[in-house]
Amino acid sequence: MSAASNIRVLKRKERAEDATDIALLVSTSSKEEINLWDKDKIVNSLVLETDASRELAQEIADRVEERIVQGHMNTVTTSIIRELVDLELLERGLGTMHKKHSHVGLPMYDVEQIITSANKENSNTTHNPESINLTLAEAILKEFALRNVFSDDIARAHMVGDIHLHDLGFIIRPYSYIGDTVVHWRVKGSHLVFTTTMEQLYHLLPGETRPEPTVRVKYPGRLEMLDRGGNWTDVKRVVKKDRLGKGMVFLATSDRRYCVVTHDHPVITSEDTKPASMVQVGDEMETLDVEEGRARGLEEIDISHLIEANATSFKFRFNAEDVFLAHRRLQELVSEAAQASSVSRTRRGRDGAGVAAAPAARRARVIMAEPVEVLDVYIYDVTTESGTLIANGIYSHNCGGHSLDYIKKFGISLPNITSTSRPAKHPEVLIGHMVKMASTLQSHYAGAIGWEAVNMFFAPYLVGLGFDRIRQLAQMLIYEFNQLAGARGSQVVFTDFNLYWSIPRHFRDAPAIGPGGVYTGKTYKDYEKEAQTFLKALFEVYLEGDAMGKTFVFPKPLLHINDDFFRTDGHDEFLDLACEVASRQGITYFVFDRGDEITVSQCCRLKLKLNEEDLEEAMSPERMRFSALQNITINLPRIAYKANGSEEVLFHELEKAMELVAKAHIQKKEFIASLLGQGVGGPLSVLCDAKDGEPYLRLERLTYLAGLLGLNEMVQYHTGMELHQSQEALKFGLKVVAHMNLTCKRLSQQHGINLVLEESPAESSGYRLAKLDTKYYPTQAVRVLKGSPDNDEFYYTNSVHLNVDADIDYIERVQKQSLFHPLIDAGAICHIWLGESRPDPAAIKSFVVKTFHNTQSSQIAFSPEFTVCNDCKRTHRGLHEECPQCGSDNIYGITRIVGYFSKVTTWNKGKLGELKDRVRTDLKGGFERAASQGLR
Amino acid sequence: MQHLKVFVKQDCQKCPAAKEVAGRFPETEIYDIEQPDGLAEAAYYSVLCTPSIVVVDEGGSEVHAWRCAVPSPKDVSDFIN
Repeated sequence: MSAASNIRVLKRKERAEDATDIALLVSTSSKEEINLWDKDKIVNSLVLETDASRELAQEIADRVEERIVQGHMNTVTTSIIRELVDLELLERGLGTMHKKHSHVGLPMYDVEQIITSANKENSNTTHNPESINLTLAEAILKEFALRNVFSDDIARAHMVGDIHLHDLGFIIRPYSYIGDTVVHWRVKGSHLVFTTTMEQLYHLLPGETRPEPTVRVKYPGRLEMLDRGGNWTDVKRVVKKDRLGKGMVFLATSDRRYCVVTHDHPVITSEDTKPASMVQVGDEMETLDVEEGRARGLEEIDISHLIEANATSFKFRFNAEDVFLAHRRLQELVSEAAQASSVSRTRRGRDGAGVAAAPAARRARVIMAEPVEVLDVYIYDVTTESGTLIANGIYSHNCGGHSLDYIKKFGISLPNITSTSRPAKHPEVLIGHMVKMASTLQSHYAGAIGWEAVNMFFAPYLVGLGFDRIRQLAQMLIYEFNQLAGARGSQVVFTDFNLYWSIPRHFRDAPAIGPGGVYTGKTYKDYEKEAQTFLKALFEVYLEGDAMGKTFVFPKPLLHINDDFFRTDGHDEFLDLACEVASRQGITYFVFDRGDEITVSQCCRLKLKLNEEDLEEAMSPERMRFSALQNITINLPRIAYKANGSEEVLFHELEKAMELVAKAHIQKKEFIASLLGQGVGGPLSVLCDAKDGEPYLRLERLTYLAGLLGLNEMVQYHTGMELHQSQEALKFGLKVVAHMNLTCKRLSQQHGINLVLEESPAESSGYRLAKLDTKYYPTQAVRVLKGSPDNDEFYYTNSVHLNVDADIDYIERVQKQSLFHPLIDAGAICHIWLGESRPDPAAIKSFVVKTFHNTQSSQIAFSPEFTVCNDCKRTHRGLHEECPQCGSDNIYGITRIVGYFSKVTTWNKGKLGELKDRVRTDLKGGFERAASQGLR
Repeated sequence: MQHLKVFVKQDCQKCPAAKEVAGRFPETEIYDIEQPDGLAEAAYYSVLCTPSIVVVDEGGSEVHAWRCAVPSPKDVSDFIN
């Protein structure tokens, strides 16, 4: 039988002229079905996906059909058809069309490997059905990102290992008021009050900035907004955002006031603060009769008439001339106001009234609370210092973080969870809310979830409780987070707890939120004792470890040490406990906040952890949240290979790599913005859906990270010496990082993003980049690679760290590495590998105190090693081949891989190589010894 | 021989005064911390703000430093000899 007779060719009546239509079975795996051959489908998909002309599409489809007929197939998959079409496109030189049309998928063999063997890219992930799903999905999404999100030059730089693009990242959420909400404002200190809508106010102000495609911001500088009780509060900024289809709620009160706000806008009622969608008829709200302003010698001017309103719609519309006129009129009014404020305070208003009397706050019942359809495309918000303002005569909130206060104040209401919780009244419930919020956040963020000042924010819930109860709560908090394996890939949620012995200055005067989300009338400094008791309880639990006595992995306790720490009573005793935990379990992270680093911004400082805006935000801590969009690591040794000894080429290549990083960030930002553009109906609804005034992820406040990898090997290749081997090598390393720091600043300015350096943990990317260098630069890489190339256990030294194998004292190691820390804005750490030794807690304490006072180190952590026996259930110090107690080989090792503890069996080969090389210390010796060696 | 390293930047009000004091001593080196070499040197001596003056010995080790401050010429001469 001839091959051609295997294919049944069918003449279709309606298109009899097309003799080659074939009755081919087409299996479509994506739709799990088998169809009959239809050539038009090729034509249609080419037209739809690649914008090809119908003629070209027809021609290609004819050719593909011909090939299939010639191929003697009677069943063909859609992916084969697609490949054949792609081949046609390539043969015709239609590269762009091919890129658009290409298939993203995985070979059968790869899928089988993913299912049957563990993925060691992240040692926090175990091998389970969820992690298999994650790996499969990631493989597709990575390919999609490289082909579709990033441009060819960036994708290529990633593929060949010049840079490494880390996981997918972050977003933003819009919220707020409808544009016609009336507000009352004045130039600071002036007697002249303006009444306008938020929309008008926005358009009257000059200087729009556009931190992201859907958000526009203006900073008015000298304006004040009418607030509760007729007081004035500084206007920080006025924001205009795309509404993105968010639902709005109409609220009306018994004294004939109304407002329209987003459904999740926090509304202040006499009972509590709740989302607008939860406000009910009968709830009581506080209102203010603004007219009474006149009674206080304030002159009120309604300038809304200056701008033509379109009466048929809710919205005011402007043309350029209107805005110009309004601006001119505003200038006149402002200059009048300036004069007015300089004359006597007894000056009367135009109506002659002028008796000073504070307006009384009124209570009014909500008479209507319903969803409302509006035509508005934009929503507005005014951020004020107090966080509140009078809008349409109603006392209201403006714009919440991974701050515990966010949950305390708003409870839990997430788009992916059908039920809504009111703010927690009991500490146990608050823990539950935290865990759920962390779990949801983890599914949207690629990195760690950090919680600010956990012990302090918890404190108002602990008033009057005995130590045993507080310790029980501490235990519950740690276990709930430590065992929450609900994150992507069934990982434990990667959690950081920022902890303070003394209430941080930037929170001392912030109004404290207590049970039920209600302000307690006190500030956080009044809860220092409870915060300290809770901190002690947390560390007692960390000291004890889990049921087998082994260390907790998460939540990571980041203990902040600053000058105030040493001035606060009881610090010495508490530091003993924290250092005992570090000695026994290793889990304490000592984070150093020096001098005025956090509290004051000073013009000539190189480094500021929190900027002015962040500090303002600290007064309403629920608003605080910091996140990064994406980390992109630069392969530094590769740059030295390319430079081949030329310093000029080296810095030129470095600059080029950083420009590539900035470009990649911009492309990612645009992609995320396009997803956010789909609003609450889109994939990022959680991040579009906030309870305070701003997006949960604020693109304009986001940090864009440029990671460093292998500085030591770069310097070694270029200078012939490793960082620890000579002063020249160390200084050259500093010059590279200084250059990168300054380039970040330049690129930040150029692109309007906050690009900063980070010590990339590079748990897997370090290995990947080293491996690619052995492929593309084998003769160069072999000269500097660390570890053992024979069994693939090789690696580049992490970030700016000194060689882990370097035979130098740990004091010297910390001193030298710390020199880099002020240049690395997004976080740096010095690891002290303890191995099986268990230093005296007093030695750790002395090390910590001296590191704080004598170095610029941002953070240190002490890492012991443990062996856990699955048979006798004991945990032993050090890494052993078999259980020292029962001799079993059914054991596993635990120590820090990068910034967290994990099972050694889950580590990738590069990290295993590093583990073998790590020089351990028992902390004997000291700063004195280092000083005698000529170090500062 | 001990000498001075002065760390300055543009738009820094007290920097001219620091330069003036340091200029009175021989072999003074001036570093602009907005340039890579200057910033690297500043990081090496843990200088985090301007103006700062560091007295170093012939091996480049720090003998004394005034960070974020301008010393009097007498203060400097007490260390430089």
